[in-house]
Amino acid sequence: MSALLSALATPDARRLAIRNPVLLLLCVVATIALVAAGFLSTAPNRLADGVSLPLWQAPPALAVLVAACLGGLGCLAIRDARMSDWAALGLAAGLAVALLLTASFFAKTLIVAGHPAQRQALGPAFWIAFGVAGFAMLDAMQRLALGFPARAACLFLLLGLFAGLASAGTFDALSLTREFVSHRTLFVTALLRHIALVGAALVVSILVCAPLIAVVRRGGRTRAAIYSVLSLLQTIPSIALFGLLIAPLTFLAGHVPLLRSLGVSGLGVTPALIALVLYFAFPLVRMTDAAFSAVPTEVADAARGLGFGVRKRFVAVDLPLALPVLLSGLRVVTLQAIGLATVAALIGGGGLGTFIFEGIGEYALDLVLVGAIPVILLALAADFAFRLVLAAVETPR
Amino acid sequence: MIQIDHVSKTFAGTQALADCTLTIDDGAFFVLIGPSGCGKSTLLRTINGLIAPDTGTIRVRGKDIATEDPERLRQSIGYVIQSVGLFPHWTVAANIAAVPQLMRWDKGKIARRVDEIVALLRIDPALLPRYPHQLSGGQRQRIGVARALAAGPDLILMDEPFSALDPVSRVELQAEMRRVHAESKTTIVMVTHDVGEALSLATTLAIMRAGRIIQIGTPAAVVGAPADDFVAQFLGGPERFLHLLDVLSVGAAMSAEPPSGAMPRIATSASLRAALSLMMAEGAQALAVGDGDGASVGTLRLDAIVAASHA
Repeated sequence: MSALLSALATPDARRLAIRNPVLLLLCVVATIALVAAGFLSTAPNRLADGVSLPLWQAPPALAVLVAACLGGLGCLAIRDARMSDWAALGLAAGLAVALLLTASFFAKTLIVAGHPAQRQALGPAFWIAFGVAGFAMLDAMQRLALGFPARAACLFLLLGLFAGLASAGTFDALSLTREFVSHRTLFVTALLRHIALVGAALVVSILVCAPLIAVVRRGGRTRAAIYSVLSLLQTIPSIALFGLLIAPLTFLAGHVPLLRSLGVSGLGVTPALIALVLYFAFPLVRMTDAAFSAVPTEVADAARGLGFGVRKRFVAVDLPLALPVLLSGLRVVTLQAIGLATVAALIGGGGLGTFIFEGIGEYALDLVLVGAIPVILLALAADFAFRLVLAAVETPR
Repeated sequence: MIQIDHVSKTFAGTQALADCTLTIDDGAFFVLIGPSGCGKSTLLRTINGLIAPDTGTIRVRGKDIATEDPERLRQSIGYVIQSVGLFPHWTVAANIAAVPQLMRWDKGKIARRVDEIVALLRIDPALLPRYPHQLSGGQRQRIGVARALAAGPDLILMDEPFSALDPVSRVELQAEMRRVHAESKTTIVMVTHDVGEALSLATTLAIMRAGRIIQIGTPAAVVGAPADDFVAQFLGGPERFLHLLDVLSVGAAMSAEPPSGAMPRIATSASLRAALSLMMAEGAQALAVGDGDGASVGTLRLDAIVAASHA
């Protein structure tokens, strides 16, 4: 035992040395989860408590496939092999697909004819192992130092595979799919509302913040005042801020008919939008300020001294030099907005948060996931889009 | 070219310029010199309107700049600063073309002008598609000078342009500026705190202290007759005359007396420093002065060097 420990501790290549401790840890976590926790749970209906089923009760061929992928990853974590990072990437992707297939076909074997309300939900072991597969893929990409196009290609390959399997009806027996299918029309509306809410909040924030930024950039005492007010707004918890707006807006809508006719009320989109805008004011103003402060003073001085006018200087010098920082700031704010907009559902603002809160209310975890997974995917998509734009505007320095 | 008339400027309670008056002639290489914080950069920056004086007027080419469009004015004046300030997101070629671009020259004219400037300042054309971060400090300031010269201004302002450079690049660019000035007759106003640089480049020198102009004159006149102890000390105290050896040429100190055959030879255009060094090396009291073709045109004696600063 002590010999094994000292072998683990010394990086001597000829003895047992761990090549990739991160991957090994991930594999151990996934193994423990698959052995000890439920892979799938089956219940007679949506509200009843389910019976937890472990992986080894799944169709043996598929369970073996999962175990093989995981075992292979574990070996790659310990031993050095040729192209081991590529192999790890392939095995991790394989593990993700194997887990999906196993869960789907396992669920199909559990269907009892004549019980349409019966549910097969994904268990904790599935989610942990699926997460491990994702992290293992990221780790392999990191080690391979894959560029942005290669990562995007991997992502699209997997998404395409997933879409193909989904359209073939592979996942139909899973309760997550059922919840999704039964909420399909509502889902599209909620998704569009979510995107619209985020988009509108960003546009309005930018419009509101532009004059604030102009004042802040001028410096002086107002700058400090604006920053302290904006940072104070940031400290209000989001749910409280949404709630706080109900009373004043209801009052306004009740007393100013014009506002009411414009659709302003204490509940719904208006307070949601206002709360989001209040939230984004601080990061937006500070990041824009930082972006323009990053323009070297000597470059600004040279531009002025050579006879660039105010507008020309802004368009030709300040903006292009600030743009990368500006866009990465906007990226952070957008990702934050996609997450925060879920809370808007609490006050009737709609969006994907509707499913999350409805699911929590009904104790239907799958319905929560119908709201939460698209939020994550939306954030990833936005991140992807921003990275594309950033790569395009990045100038040589 | 420039008349500065009773100009004063106060920044947050401290007086940067106190009643400055001076005239800069067409074609002058005018150097403003003084200790740091004396207001020399501030005075330079009032000329292209980057700093507006509290009182007083500034005329450039006979026109009060307060009545002129500031952008047009600046486009007509070259501007070089110590930190260079090349546009990092533009190629070297685009940087050089910045002002012609602002003035909306057509593409062909800009391209021809960039070629001319590149040849004039001996810039390697291979640098043109590169970005500023790929250049050395000396190369960058050479491009900075090229950018200032691109639109063919008759006036160039330089704010400590060579202070941040390594000694080799500095001497090279100083020589380049001397040549450009001699060939183009452009008026140059330069700020520096380097006495050697000031005396070797200036046709006229202004010494500033605490926002005031203490003395204006040719390098020889200022070294020979400093207005007060401060000026004398600033220029190097009792050793200040040694600077004149760089400024004065053999031609200015020689006599027409025909040389005897045994004297070491030196060219008319050489500096007195080179002549003195040659005398020390050869143990000679006199040198034969030759023109470019090798013919002797006169004699330079040691006592003539000593007397030259009083000529």
